[in-house]
Amino acid sequence: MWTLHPGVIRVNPSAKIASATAPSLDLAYPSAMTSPNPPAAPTVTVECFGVPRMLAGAAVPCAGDTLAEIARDLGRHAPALLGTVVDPAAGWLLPGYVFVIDSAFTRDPGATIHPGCAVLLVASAAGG
Amino acid sequence: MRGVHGRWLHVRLPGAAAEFIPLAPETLAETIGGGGLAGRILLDLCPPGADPLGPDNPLVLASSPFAGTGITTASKIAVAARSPQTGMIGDSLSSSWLALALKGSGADAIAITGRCGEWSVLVIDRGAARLEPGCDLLGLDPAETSAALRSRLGNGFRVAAIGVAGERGVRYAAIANDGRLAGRTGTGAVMGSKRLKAIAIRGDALPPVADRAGLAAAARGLTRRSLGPETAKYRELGTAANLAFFNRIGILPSRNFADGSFSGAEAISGERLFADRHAARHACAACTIGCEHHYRFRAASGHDAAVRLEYETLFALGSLCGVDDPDAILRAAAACDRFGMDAISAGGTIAWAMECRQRGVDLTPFGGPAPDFGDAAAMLALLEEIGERRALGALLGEGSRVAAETVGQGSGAWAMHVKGLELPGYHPRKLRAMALGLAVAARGACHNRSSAYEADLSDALSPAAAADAVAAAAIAAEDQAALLDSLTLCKFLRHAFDDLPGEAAVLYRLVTGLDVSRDDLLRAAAGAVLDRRRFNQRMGWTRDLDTLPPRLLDGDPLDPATLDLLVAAYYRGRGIPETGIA
Repeated sequence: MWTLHPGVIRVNPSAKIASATAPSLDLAYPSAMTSPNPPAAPTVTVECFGVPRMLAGAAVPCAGDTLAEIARDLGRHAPALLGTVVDPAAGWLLPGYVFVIDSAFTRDPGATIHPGCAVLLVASAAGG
Repeated sequence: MRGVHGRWLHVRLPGAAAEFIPLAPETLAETIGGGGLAGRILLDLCPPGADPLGPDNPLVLASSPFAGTGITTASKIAVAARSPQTGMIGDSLSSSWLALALKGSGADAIAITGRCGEWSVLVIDRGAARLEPGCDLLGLDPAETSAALRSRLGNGFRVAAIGVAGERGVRYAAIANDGRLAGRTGTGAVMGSKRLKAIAIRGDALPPVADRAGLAAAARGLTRRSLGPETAKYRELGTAANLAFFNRIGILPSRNFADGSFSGAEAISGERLFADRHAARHACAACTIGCEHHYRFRAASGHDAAVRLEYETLFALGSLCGVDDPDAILRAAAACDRFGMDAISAGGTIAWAMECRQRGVDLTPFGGPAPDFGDAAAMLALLEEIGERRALGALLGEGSRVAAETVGQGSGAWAMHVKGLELPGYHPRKLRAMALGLAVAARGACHNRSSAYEADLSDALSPAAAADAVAAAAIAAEDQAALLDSLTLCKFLRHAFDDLPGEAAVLYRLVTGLDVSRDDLLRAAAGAVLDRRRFNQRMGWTRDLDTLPPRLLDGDPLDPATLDLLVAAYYRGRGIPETGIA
């Protein structure tokens, strides 16, 4: 599993480099897609980019009517995000990450989700 | 005032006669340091109409009060000169140990005027300047030059060097130091025009700070925050992480900005490169973020190698040229480093040539045929020609604006530059604040001087926002960039602050002892922006230069009238007349 550098989470950096080159990491087919507990009624697929993608894969199906519910479900189906991208206590995004719903950037937990809308998860530090 | 020396060093070539010039505390407070200070010295020193490649054009290197204090990421030098690429202000920053040597040299900045008779190395040893022969270094790349000089002079020296591109006057040649490049606007060509292959500096006389204990505590706190989730993107994947996301939302420039997405994006995405090719992660001098990621590739020799890769290089030598071969892109990145030239302008100019071919404009009379989009081998060959300024590379080494003016045949319509500087990797079609920021930026199309994309890529700006709101966002982004550049703090640190100007003012007080407020710093940052505009006016700026390439004004969605409204709103917001600053 791909892990983060110290500072975000406690891991051995050398292990990260080794695992990053391992063939088990497949960006196109995330571990969440083969989760033993897929959501009963996924309403959207969260497309992950950057660090979330390295941790959870390119896409995670989630159920929820609001972003708050989506974020909680995201933590359930992609536990690698907990503590790094999703705050396990609050069930909400840590600072540094943002959702994009149908092209609108938002960290509003109350934002409503409709089936089929595009939900992206990305670092809020845009550009570089 | 603590944390500074209160003077800069004027070195006059060819004799290397050096003189310390006092810097008034008011000047330092007004400009903050770094980019602001370099811009002010340039404004004062560069005569109107100075030939960018002539002896009168000063080459300024500036440090800041924060450099050498233990504040994370602050070890940066700011470089300024009249740009041979744009004719306007040329300025650039890079992080390196050179910044600490410069700060320890006993001067807050160094300005070099004149020209050497023979290729030379300028040595500044604890504030004393001298020239050494540099002819034996010609043809070496910047890293080889640095290694040779440190071997000759001793390890205490830090080196800024140009590669072959700078020697031969490629107008977007860079100044390299410790593997980092002050890349944009061609300051490497200015250094080459002075027949300086390198500048070697040794110095350890760091000025004392006002409140050492207070600063140490504050610096530790900032270091802690620099390791948080706000910087994880840069630390974990680096800027290459932008590519897949930008492609998804349609702002990844591809095929010379004809499109905002690229069919080969997955193959060259940061995530894919990391999984397949990541070799190492490094940090700049005195930086705790460590955003510099290196990737493995197969060199032309057949050997495995690794090279630093940033998003801007990845897009410019990848999607912009229609190239989806990671090995080719990494080789191209290594070539730009080896020749010492700006990858954005190199890729942007090659993409212009590729479009010439696509549109049937024959470049053979100008040195050779242009390649097709996606022809990675030809792109690599062209980079060699540009670096050595031969064949078609002699024309492309002028940049896309001059190349289009030379070739004519309507090719200016697809020369993707502002004021002569090729556009960075943000397709402005969907980014209104960024489009405005690119149009008005004093140094030309630049994401580092106008990070207005942050407003577009957030919930800060509604898509329906009025022109004045867009202008306000562009101004705020420009001022934030100027503040960071003047403090010489890394832009990747910006989200680690809750209130950047307020917290920076606390740090500034601890370093300098000056009673500076957040508003004082914001005024100084805005002043640095206006200094750049004043410089441009002196060099012939006119309002029509604050625009975008025709391709971006085709009504989808921007058109000339809409951009004009935005630019007018920007001037209103800045409080400056459209005709220029009085």
